[in-house]
Amino acid sequence: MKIGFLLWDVQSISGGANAVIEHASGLRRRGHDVILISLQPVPAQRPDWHPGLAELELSNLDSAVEHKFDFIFATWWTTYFELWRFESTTYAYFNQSLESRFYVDRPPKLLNRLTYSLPLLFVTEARWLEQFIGWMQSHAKVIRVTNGLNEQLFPCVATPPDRGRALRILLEGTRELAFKGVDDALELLQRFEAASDIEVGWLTTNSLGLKPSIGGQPVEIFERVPIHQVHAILRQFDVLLKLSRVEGVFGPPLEIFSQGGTAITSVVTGCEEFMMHGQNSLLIEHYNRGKVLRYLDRLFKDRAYLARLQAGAIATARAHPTWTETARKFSLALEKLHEQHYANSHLRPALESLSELRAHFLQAVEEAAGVRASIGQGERVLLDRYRQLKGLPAVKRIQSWIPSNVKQFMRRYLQPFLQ
Amino acid sequence: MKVGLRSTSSLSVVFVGRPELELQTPSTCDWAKTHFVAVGTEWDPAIEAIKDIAAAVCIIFDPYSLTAAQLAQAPGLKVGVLTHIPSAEEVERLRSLISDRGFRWFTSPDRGPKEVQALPILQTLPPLVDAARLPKSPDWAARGHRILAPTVAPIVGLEELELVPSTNDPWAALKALKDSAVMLCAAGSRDLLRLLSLSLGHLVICEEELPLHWGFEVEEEYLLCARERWKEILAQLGNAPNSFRAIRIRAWQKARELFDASGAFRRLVHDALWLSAS
Repeated sequence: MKIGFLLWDVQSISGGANAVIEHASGLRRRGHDVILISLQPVPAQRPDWHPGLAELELSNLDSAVEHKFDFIFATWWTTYFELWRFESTTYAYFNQSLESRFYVDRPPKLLNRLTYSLPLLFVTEARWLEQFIGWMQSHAKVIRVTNGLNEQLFPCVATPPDRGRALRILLEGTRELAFKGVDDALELLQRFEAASDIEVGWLTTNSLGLKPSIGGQPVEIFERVPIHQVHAILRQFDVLLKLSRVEGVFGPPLEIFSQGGTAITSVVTGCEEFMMHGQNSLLIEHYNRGKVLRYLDRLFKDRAYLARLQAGAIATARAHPTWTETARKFSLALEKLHEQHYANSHLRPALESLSELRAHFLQAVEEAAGVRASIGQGERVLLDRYRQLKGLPAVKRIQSWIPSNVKQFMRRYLQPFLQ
Repeated sequence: MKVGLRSTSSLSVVFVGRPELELQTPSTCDWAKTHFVAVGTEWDPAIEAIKDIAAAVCIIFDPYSLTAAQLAQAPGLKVGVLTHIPSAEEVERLRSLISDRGFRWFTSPDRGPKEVQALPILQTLPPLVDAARLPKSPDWAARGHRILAPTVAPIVGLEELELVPSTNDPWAALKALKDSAVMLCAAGSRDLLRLLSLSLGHLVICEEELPLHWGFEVEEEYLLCARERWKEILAQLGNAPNSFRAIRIRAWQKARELFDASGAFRRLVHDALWLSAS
């Protein structure tokens, strides 16, 4: 089979790209012809942050459209709008999160929802997404394949290593995305009174130049670390602290489990897949952030309890399927569909229409922003005054006396003059 | 003490509170045997009903009028759940109930003032909902629209819409809510009713933000807009009934992620036992 995965780019280190590379490598091992297609230019020097990248075929969009695929997958949501460019028997979406949640503004949220409007083949790793997609698009075929743990990159330890007297805490996440909660975690740690009891590290793909200190001690920063070196960092820490508000299924807690550490994380989508409060980790609801400090204090003082959590964490990691197993499951699912002559190539014109709709929508949003920016100061003051006047209780009371049919008539009558 | 609530746990947890609070406690769960005992005007019958239960943890809602002698008869580690921020006088009463045989912990619906923080607060505990008692799979058809308002005054322009009674009784509220798909929440609407509506997968449209510490996100799990725009949104729904389905699904899911009584009390009970062990 010929299978393509559309990625935003292949250079940036991310959990989402890691999952794509693992599945692509698994398909390749089973003899399939796999291409990773980057929307960003493929760099002259092949990226090496993941060992799988050395063996996979990388291509730009322009040259990849020459191929005919059996399966072509969108991955990051914006790649969905490029699917129509390819000739493929099956159009598919490897959907790892609800990416509308990455944005504050409404336009990208609305556009993201379009990606659930056609019955493509959906593959996801999380139960909550499987349910979400099934309810959004009841005619779509949805396959769930759990994310694995790479046994070469994260070989499970037998017991947690001795890490000394202090409680060693590792933050994880980029500061580029506020919902990753890195700043929240740093702010909480600043309030930890017994700062001499803790040592803090931070594993990140982008610190945005921040060099934080906790209790006068600089936080040890591990930035843009190739994935094959990550386990050695994780092994140095007792506990991972991750307060993200949005996740598909997060990998770092499972990865630190394999290295004999536990995790304190938010109760977030996907955490239920392998995290169990009080057995291998501690979970914190959004409304209970302050508990983090109490947990850290107790973990420092109650080493027997910390050891139990860490033992539970190692057991969870050992029981978790490996990427070799889950990537095989992914391949088998596609092979079965191929044998059954599953196809949805008739969706290509609809995908093209959605892509056009997106372009027009973005253009309209840009024009509206331009109009807003061109409103002069005087007009702005008048508009604000008008809004204030409308909001006055007396005006509202007068409005409530006017029958709604009269109001509707007046609105219709005045509409042409207001435009 | 070895703490860790496994699925096969034989742990027993007793909940004691006014009948309307039962919906905020787990009816069935795989981590403990749970009992709910309703309290009427007097505490004695409830205390009599629970004193012989071999419970590890006893969770008592709004125990302001409970006496130390009554509390001493309740089994297990005692946690008081405060469903409103107590007055200074109530805080004083609660302080008198802290002892070896009295309360070890309290929870508060939000951070509360300094006096409340002086109590042994285990955590914040907003209203919860027992998802096991709600429909397993919601009906996404966009049917009725209801208005949740703290008063019975009709909303201008939407006089034809039915108002949900501003009730303390969640069972009555559930009955009123279950045939709806859209809930328009006027400022000051009751927290529990808004949470119930989110848990039922309604499109919740609020004119004021939900409490920030709840963690629901605008445009992802509910809509935030002035009541002047409500009619416009309802018209939009009339034209495209599924246009807000993603928001409804996420409200349904997030209510379960964070506010399901079984999950929230599992974590709470674990922490109460662990953090009490010295």
